[in-house]
Amino acid sequence: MKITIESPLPGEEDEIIIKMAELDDEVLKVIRRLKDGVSKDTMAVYANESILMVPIRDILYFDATDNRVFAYTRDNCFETRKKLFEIEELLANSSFLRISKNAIVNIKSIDHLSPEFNGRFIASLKNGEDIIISRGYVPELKKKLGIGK
Amino acid sequence: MRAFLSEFLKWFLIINTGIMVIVWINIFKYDTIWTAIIPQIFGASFLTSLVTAAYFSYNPRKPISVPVRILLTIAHYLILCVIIMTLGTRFNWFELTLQGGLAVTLSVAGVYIISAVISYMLSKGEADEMTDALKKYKEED
Repeated sequence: MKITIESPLPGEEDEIIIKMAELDDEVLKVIRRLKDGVSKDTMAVYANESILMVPIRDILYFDATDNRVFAYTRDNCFETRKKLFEIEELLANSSFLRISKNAIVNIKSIDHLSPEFNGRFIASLKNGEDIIISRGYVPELKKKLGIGK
Repeated sequence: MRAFLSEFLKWFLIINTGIMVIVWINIFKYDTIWTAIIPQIFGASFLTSLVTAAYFSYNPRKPISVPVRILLTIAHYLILCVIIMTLGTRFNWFELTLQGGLAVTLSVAGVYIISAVISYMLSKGEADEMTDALKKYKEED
């Protein structure tokens, strides 16, 4: 397969053109990653109008507030331009798991779990933050940890 | 809805057990036991479990602070006292006097503590099991 990289003319927008007789699965995956701003190991996030590529392993959890989704790392919080369900789909089969209507957690970032007052659980993260695991998402977490039905 | 029903069933079993324990303690002084008390206990358990399941459906986003948790617990306890006092008077479990009222508040407190301890123990066991599995998950990775 021939790969051509050209520099755009001044004032021209960056553009990727794929010329193929038939799109195979691998290329479709690449297109999706390009569109989503997610590679295998990094995710595009926004901070002060600039775009950063953050290693996914550094993200502790995603939280949706007022129709905006934020990615939390140990020391920072970045906005993503994706919906929570899109992130859930993108990071399926990884250590990320939906734990409530508005949060997805990297289960590797959980230090320990403890019971909350109404059948829910508190996930205490490595950075000292506590987040809620809703009752309805506990079976999925157990399954992921190999103790579910 | 499924989660609510499951939560309701859990509380029904716990509260019903708690009420049974309190009733057993209280009816030792009687020579005969009236059979109508069984459906009455189930009725009281049903109503209080319904309120408890609805109360625990309250789903705030962040962990609840200790003072708010205490206030919510007191409110929940008072609602349960009102339900048991209303049903208890209707079922002739006690007379609506100061002594009767005190007996109800103490009995409800007894059931509340039993239920809370059972529920906490179950949840604690579940949380510990998940924490252990989490450690193994990280080690395997």
